Amino acid sequence: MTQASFADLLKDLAAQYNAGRLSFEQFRALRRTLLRDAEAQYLAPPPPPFGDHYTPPPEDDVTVVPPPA
Amino acid sequence: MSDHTRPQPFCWRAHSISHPGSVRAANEDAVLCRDDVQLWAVADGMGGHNRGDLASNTLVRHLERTDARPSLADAVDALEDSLLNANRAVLNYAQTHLHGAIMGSTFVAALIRGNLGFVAWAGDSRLYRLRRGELRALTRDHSRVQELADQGREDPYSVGANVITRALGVDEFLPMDMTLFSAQHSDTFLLCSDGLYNVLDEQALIKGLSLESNQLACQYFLDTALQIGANDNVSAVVLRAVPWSAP
Repeated sequence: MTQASFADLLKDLAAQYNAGRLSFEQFRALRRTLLRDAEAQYLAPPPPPFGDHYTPPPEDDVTVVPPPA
Repeated sequence: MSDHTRPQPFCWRAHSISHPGSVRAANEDAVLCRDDVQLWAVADGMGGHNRGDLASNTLVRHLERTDARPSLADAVDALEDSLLNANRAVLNYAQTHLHGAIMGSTFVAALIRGNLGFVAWAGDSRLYRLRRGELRALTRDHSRVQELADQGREDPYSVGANVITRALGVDEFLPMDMTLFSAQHSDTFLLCSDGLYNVLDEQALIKGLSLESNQLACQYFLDTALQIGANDNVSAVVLRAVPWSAP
């Protein structure tokens, strides 16, 4: 089974919100969790003013992948 | 960790152009370059409606006031707040001054933190990434043409070529799409309105983005679009990584 990427999960969240299946508060809370997980995986802490530490980049967007549940 | 193995910090710097084009008298596009908060946007006021220029400029004015937030999650919240405020402002103006007539704007807005990017968009303004000579659109148009193409229609451009299905300022609910993307230090990004990609083909976009500076890329795009005969406004923001230095 292909694991969903952070990118796909965010697209799906937005689609659910646009379809009225999530409230604004639910959407924002879920998105914040998702983005923080993505940041934790792909940005080296603590970042200088705007997160400009360099992490070896994934080869493509598919590799922006959350860890297994 | 030795200096040899330590990754080189980098950030993103942009240059932009926005021009009425060869035919139109007014420019209803607007662009945003905020290297200070690593936020960039292109807005395209909806043609055929009232005051498209006001809608796109209202959007950009709100983004100009977006707070600086180091974390991506916080920055996305701030960006969304600005977009929602802009949506309300455009709607209020239309109801107050235009008797409820529609004015609106498509937009594409991108944030990057290190090698992690975020993009939100509504309508047919686009974000492209050039990586190792390969151009890829990271956004998907909200347009009738895209819908027909998704349905497998052989000639989607035959019907409703100019119909946009989402835009800011049209409704109290702002339906935008968003996603994440990777950003490598050797990538070049382009945010643009349809006035650019409708006249420049993929090879021309690759050629421009392969030039050595953002300024040269923007100038190439504008010169080429005008040479071909841009019948719409032309706007572009080009960004690429530079070694990080304190502001």
